Amino acid sequence: MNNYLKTQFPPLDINESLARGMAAFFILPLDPSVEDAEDVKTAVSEAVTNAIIHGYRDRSGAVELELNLEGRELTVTVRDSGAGIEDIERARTPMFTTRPEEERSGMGFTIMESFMDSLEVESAPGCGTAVTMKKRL
Amino acid sequence: MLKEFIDCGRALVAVLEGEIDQRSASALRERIDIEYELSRKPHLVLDLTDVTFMDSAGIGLIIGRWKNVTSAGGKLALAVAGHKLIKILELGGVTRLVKLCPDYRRAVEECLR
Repeated sequence: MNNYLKTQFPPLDINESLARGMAAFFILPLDPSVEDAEDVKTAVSEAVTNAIIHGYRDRSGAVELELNLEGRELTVTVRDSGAGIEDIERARTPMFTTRPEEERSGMGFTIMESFMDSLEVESAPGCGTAVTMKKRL
Repeated sequence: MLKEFIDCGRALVAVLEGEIDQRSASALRERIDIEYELSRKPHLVLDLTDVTFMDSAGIGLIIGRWKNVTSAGGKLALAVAGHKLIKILELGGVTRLVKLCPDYRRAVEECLR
């Protein structure tokens, strides 16, 4: 089955649950295992939280969520036009956080990487970030 | 979301429910810290048996409470039912720091051990 969904929303934290809920409903027709569905929800939640918290902080803008299904292969892209990441490799290091005072675990990218089959991060300071994740369901 | 606090002698139990993400974690952190301080109990149990979803914000919440409680000389234990949260708790390093128990009563016993 091939299908896609492309949506935009403002960087408000209430939209984290909306985004992972959309992803869960999007893959539902494939009757995924409970674990796969949880993995997708968690990875989407991490990517969208990053866009809101690190991409835009308290600034306005749009977070773009794109879900694409080709057969049983899901591709998730989360894009923002926010601050961007200076050092992508460092940001992907487990436990690395730019905001330790807020008790962030620094596990966002590690979770996306572990819960999905692949993760690509494109980013440049001032030019936003695009995170693309794939998972075979 | 926070369902309730339960007074268990030398341990305070915080019963959480629903989804723990970046949005809910900050409110939970504040309520749990205030109640823990007011309770003057050494130990804290986070009952996650009714938590339906958790991302890395939950890991930050648990590790932050672990730091607070252990620096005050107490113990933190978790009540976790089923396998749903285990994967993220293991990946986040929580299982290396904190004992996981099947329900809050056993988590309280673990703290008192």
